[in-house]
Amino acid sequence: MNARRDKEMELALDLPAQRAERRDRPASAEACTDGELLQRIAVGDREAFDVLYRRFVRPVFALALRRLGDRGRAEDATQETFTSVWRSASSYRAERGAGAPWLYAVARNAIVDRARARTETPTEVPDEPSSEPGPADEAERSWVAWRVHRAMQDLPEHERPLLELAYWSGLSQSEIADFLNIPLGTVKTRTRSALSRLADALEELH
Amino acid sequence: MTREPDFNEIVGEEVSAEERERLHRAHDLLLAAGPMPELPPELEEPSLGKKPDRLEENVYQLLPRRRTGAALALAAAIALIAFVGGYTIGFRHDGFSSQYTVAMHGTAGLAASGEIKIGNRDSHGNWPLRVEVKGLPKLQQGYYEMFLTRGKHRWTCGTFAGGGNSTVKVRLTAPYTFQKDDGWIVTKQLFGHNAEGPTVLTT
Repeated sequence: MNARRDKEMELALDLPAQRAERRDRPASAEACTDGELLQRIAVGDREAFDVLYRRFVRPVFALALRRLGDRGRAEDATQETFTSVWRSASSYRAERGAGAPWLYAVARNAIVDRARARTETPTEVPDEPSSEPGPADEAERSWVAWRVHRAMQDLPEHERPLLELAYWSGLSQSEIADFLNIPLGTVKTRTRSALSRLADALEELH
Repeated sequence: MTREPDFNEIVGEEVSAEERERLHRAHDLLLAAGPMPELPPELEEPSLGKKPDRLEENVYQLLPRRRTGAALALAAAIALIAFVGGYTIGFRHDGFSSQYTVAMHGTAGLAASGEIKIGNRDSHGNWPLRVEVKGLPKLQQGYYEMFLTRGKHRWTCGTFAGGGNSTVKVRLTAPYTFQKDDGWIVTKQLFGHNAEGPTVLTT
């Protein structure tokens, strides 16, 4: 919302230098795959970094928060992740796979580093087996969440909020229609369309 | 615990079995993934403070640029303030000195109303606003946001919570220069969502 507003304000400030910069730029970074963005970042393309940042910052932060359980440390881990991406994008090899799993590995390393920095040591080991999911389960759940959150970032602005409201805010279709002040039929159409796009994206993301 | 969405309500009946299965997989994955947390403001743009070394040429100065953009876009305008209704001079209330008052009314049959008292602009260009609204529903999962509007453009003047039976009184600030035909609106927003919410009050 804010980004849209800001863009509107910037339209009034379309300076000659900005127009020239747009003409000289190669193909829009927005249209690039994650892997192509990483390749462009490897040669210092800041626009590509900006686009990659917007695609992944929420999934990275969500992953960090899930693992670290603390917003401050999750924020630090997110910052470190993108610093690492900028510095080590040249180590990404497209032939080894898509960009999202590579970035997931970078994020996981940054989060592990941040977790290790924690000095708390348990004073007593519990006798009972934990009911918490084991490392393998947790890794699988984190990977699923990562893929879904990444795919959500690609949904159109007029569709993504509908899924968020339905799945993560617990609103019924009529409540969403009421909240967004749009017809119920529109809510249903857009939600189904968003779910379909998400299904497509999740089939592509590996 | 939020309510689990009804897959049948979302997908409907007129879907092939194959498509239904495909959508159901996405539905299950959405539930398994859980919500994305709201981003802290520090992460909304690539950070200046901890940005990568090679970014130190100050490309990502989006927040300052936004403020500059707002200031430049609006600075050329002349302060035409007589356009608003309910004009009063020298109004004082709770120590707040207002130059004039703008009335707002509910949209879509909502029995709500509001009043914006606009104070004296300070030397930095900030207009203090005293906002009083009544009749807005109390939001369980959201908040209200007030905007200055001009044609298709809108600029935020701040957010507030509250509603229900009591009158909400808050102080906000607008660093803008007003023009003839400017308007004000209040929208309702949901926590953690960037989607532009519906307008509930307008001038």
